[in-house]
Amino acid sequence: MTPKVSLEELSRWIDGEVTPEERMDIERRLRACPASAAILQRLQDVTGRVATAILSAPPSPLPLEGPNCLDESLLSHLADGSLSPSERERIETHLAECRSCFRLVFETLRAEARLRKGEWPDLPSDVVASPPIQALLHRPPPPPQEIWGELSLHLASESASSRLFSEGPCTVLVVMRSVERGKVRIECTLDEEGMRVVGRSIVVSDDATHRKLFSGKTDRQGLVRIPPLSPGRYTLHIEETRLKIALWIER
Amino acid sequence: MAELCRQGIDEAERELLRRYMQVIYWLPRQAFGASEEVLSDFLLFALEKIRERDILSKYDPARGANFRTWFGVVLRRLYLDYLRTRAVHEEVWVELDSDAIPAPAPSPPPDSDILQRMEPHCRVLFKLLLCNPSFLTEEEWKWLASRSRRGMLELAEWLEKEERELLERNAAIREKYDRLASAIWWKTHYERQAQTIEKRLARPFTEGSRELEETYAKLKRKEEEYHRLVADLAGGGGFATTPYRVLANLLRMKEGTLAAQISRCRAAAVEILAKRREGEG
Repeated sequence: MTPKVSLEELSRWIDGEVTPEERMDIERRLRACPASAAILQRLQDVTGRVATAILSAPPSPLPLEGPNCLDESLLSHLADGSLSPSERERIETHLAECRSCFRLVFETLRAEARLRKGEWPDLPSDVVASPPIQALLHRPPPPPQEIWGELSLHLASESASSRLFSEGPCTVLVVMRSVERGKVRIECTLDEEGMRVVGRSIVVSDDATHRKLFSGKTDRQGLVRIPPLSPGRYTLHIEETRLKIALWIER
Repeated sequence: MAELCRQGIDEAERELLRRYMQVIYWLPRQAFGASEEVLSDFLLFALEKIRERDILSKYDPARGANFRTWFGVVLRRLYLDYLRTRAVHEEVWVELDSDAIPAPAPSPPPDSDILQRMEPHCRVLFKLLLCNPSFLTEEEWKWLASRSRRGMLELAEWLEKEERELLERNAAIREKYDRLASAIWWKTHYERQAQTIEKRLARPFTEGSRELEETYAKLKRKEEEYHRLVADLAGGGGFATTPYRVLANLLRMKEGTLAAQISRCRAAAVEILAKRREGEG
């Protein structure tokens, strides 16, 4: 009696994991055993369905990064393959907790491999000559006295987020204190040469409307409490310094 | 040139941007497989942000990063910002209109229940075997790291290398995955656009039905392209699978053990399908 083809043999056959001799033997037994051939058909059918189901549920978009996520220099070393042992350890520790950086690291490695391989086609001639591109190239840069920082905050974040910015002897600590009814409470503390700065103005403006939303002065603790802000993009300007902070609040 | 930009020399910055404009323009396609429809738009976006945020002055050679690699990382982040900005822009109308009729939830993909009812290890095995690792969810990555006793960075490097070698052996498959990613992006874009227009039309005296018709026509074409690509990839049209020895190496198990697990996962999937048919019958 011709032996049936085992489940594992059928599975290997579907995945191309059999030698030419094994393939011939399996196919000979399949011809002689209709029951095995029927099982094979069902396995192939479900494999196609599973593959379709996976491909039809594409990965979610890359989540936003938090303020303490991996910076460009570290990612550059990763892309270059020149991470030091301590940098590797730092990244490993961070990736264990941060979903967005894990996806970012994987995408960076993939993109870098492709970029190294590919040759850059020529630019279409109409692109370079287009008025918007030329206008952007010749637009004056922001005044050199401005120093920009960036901070992204997430309403869904379960832990308080903070970031320290500095310009010369002045440091600004921006802290997301709480989330209430879909708005974020932020506090800023200013120090200069180790001492709290009193009476310095912090102005918050809305990037969408360019309107000033808030202006307040630091108190005796060097602290300013900013009124709750909804998701959106804002600019924090620390007056009498060159420091501006691009603040992005996300759901 | 980069050092001159750090010093705020405007002409140096302009010259550097001119030299790298080719990279900025083609990066979304080369790195992410984006379609050519977005390239000009992204170029404008990137140039605007580079100048607005004075990005080039932030390059610090003292930190040891090669300028070209550093700039590549910056551009990739800008591209992801660009994608998010486009999504937010299309959703503004939806958020502002509190009287809007809620859009119907999209129907789940076909046979998604087979995946949902599978054991997690079977889902991961199928995703690694049949498709590229970008289809793994964050929870599945963590399961894989734990099962393979590898760090997340090591896992990312390992999988990227295997995926690259696999796709290099079959450039046609890589092109299909790129086209699939592009079709997914444009499908989502037109779905959002249609939703936005529909909500606007709910208001009185608002024109827009022609715009809606055109959007639905584009959405339909993209959906057809998307389903064709999925069927092509899933149906074995030159579809590359990950060799067992590679997966066994990743999971630190014997190849025979892996083969047995895969066959049991397939059998389990057949049973799930049979139970579903019994339920329908």
